[in-house]
Amino acid sequence: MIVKRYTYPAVLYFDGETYMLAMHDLRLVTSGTSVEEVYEDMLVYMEGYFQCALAVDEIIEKPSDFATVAKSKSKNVVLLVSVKVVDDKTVL
Amino acid sequence: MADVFEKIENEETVKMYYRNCIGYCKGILGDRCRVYQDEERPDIIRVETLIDVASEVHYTFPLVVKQAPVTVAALAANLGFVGRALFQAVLDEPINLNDFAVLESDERLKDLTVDDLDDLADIVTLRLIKYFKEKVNPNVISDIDNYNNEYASLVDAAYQKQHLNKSASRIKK
Repeated sequence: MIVKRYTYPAVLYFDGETYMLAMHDLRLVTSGTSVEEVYEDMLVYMEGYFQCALAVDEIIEKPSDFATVAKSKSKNVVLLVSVKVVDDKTVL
Repeated sequence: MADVFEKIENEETVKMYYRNCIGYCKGILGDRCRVYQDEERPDIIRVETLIDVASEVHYTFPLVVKQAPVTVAALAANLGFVGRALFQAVLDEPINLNDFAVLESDERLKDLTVDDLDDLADIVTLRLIKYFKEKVNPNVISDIDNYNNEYASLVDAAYQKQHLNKSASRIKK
């Protein structure tokens, strides 16, 4: 059993009322009324995503390069979001 | 970017989608699926599926229950997430994680509408039912509405928690 860490860029959108955080590499999106809220929810979804992917040996999409995403989304804030997930299948 | 933020304002409509998500799981997976509320975060409903009966491998995926208004993009991604997870749980052969992705690109994100939610929900349901009828159980329950009603109270409870959290947050401010 090992702990794996995954870090992906996420784009923050804001329309003056609602925040939305989109992790395009994994097709995960959260929405809420604060940055903290969408960030925390994104952690929940990322954890669920990776646990599922590891459990079924799914090929996990590699993260896009942060600089590239930041450049293409220069009008938005781009974050790096990390989660740690326990991989029960991998034995050292 | 206005379209990205298209919102579903009606609370009953938002709740219906959560209920549908849970309904798909229970209606199709039956005993191989358990639904419960997260103890630490009651606004999250966790759906546990039994992936491999022989080795008893379980997978739990979360539904973060949000109050209306909710952006269409976030709800669509949530439904897609559930759809992907369910397929991984029930299919023998490997599938592409992105089969049910609704966010192919920024362009797709911009074009999302409420209709996409219905389409996605139908695709997830119909394909799962088809698979189960062919490979697992020809008498699989396909009356999702029964399960929607059964788990409506769970969604309501999570929803109520969100209301309480927001009220508490406002008082603190």
